[in-house]
Amino acid sequence: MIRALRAEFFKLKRARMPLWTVLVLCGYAVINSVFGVALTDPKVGQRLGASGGAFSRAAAAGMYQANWTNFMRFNPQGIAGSWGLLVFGLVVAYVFGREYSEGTAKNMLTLPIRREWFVVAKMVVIALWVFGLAVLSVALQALCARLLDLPGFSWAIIRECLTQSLEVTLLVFLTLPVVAWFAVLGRGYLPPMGFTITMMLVGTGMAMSEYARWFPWNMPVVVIGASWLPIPTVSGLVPGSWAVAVATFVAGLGLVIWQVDRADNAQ
Amino acid sequence: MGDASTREVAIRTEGLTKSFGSVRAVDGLALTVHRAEIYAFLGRNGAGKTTTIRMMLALMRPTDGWVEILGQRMAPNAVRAFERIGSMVETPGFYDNLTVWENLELQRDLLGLRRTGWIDEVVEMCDLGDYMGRRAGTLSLGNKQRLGLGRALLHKPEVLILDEPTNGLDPAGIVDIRAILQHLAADRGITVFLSSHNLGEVQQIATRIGIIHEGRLLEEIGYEELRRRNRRYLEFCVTDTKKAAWTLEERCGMRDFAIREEGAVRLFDGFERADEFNRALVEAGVGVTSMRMSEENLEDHFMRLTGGPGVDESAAPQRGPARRSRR
Repeated sequence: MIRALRAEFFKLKRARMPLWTVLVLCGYAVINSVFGVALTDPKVGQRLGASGGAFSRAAAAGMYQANWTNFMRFNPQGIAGSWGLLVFGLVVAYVFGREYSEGTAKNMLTLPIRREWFVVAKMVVIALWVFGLAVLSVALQALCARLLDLPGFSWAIIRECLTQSLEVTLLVFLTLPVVAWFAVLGRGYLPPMGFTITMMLVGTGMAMSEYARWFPWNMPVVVIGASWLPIPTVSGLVPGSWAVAVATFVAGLGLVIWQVDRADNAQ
Repeated sequence: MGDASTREVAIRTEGLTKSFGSVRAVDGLALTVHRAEIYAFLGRNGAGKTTTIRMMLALMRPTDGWVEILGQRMAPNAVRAFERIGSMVETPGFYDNLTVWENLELQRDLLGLRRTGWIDEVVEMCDLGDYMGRRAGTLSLGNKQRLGLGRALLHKPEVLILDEPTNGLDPAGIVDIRAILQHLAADRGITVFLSSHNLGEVQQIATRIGIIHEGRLLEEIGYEELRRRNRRYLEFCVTDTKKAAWTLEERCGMRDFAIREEGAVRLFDGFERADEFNRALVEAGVGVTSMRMSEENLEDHFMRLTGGPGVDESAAPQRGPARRSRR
């Protein structure tokens, strides 16, 4: 297991994908900053509030004011609803799919190491990668807020943002073995990315539904709500939601192990 | 090397079958490879060579039958067996972002080998010294083949399974690989199982040959046996094969000859009467464009077995002796 884990980290040496994922985060922070700058003009907030419906409710709740609380709230929502799902899906597609697209799977599967250790080692790498990105995104968001000189800083806001970001990341992470299964089943990058985008669209469509708290790809949004683009969401997860999320993780992991262990591994 | 039948078996398959839907890619394959043999697995494209190798390495599940390597039944996670097997399936894949050295280092670590000296050994053997700092993604196909072979040899396996190992190599590279494989089998007692459709290549290194066609093993034969079995012949290229056959039979009293589709007649005895045959053919009005002595080679044998182009079906061994037949 240790050998497989060490190898998985070694495979990332000079790889560009880690850098690309960090760049996406930077891009998201820049976009947020533009939005933050816009909100420093009170007229923007008023105009959004005048749009009616959920926008008015959000404005009434003070969500279109430029301050640390609102700005840091963008981060967990970004992980739950936009870049998080896509980038984390991309990470999984890369870690699993590259073995097939670069033709290394046939060597990996004929090594004197149990195949499931490779799966576990890859999931460990993915976990460190995505949780690392989540922490980095909080730091970037805080840096942007500082550069924008927003009012209302407190360490409690940072702590809350970090906690929510990690919680959302955990919920996304629990869905990632299913994405990995699509990578080994489809032997490459496209099937897992196609699946990720599909789940993102389905999740968006279900966001207002009562079933959202039972759908693993919706749970990240459910757990933090959506405020910057206010749509009515079910509030919070129930213990059963977590059981579904964990079951999704276990089932996904089982499918991946079955696929590399039992199915034909042609390239 | 002793008699193959008395030596220890390194690879054995029994009833090995793989079906894809209604298509039987491999059909009841039973083959035996002995220790320190260089066993060439010959077949045309799509004959079932790669599928067989994938089943040997547990990359595919057989529909039926089994594979045993060094006494161990092959299955996913046959860790003990994989410790003793080196393999290269089709074009080997590498981590393109890593250098040649790093790819070998990664393999060494995964194999649990402590000494880096083993890398130096395969680098020298496979002539990779000039490329150690190059990223694997920038290597030519030929050098990737060398690196793939080096990676397969890193842990000094007892059995080496190679799928088309000389693919993409230049003539000098092919000679090098051939020398390496011969050295491994002769000096280290490594069993080499290689698939190929390059008959000339196989002819020079194989000690035993298995011919697969449409998923079935048509023949398993030692190369020495093949040489003994193959016959010398005198070949006339003529303008009219029918008339030539009549002349040779009626005027020269020859019985042991065969007519080839490409306008040639092969005689299997009476070589000392070559001038007489030539004269008789010319006098009968048959144009003789060339005359040569030759020997049936592996290619002829392979084509005859698999029914290749330019080979008459009546030449197939199951149709009996080839006396006065068309081969």
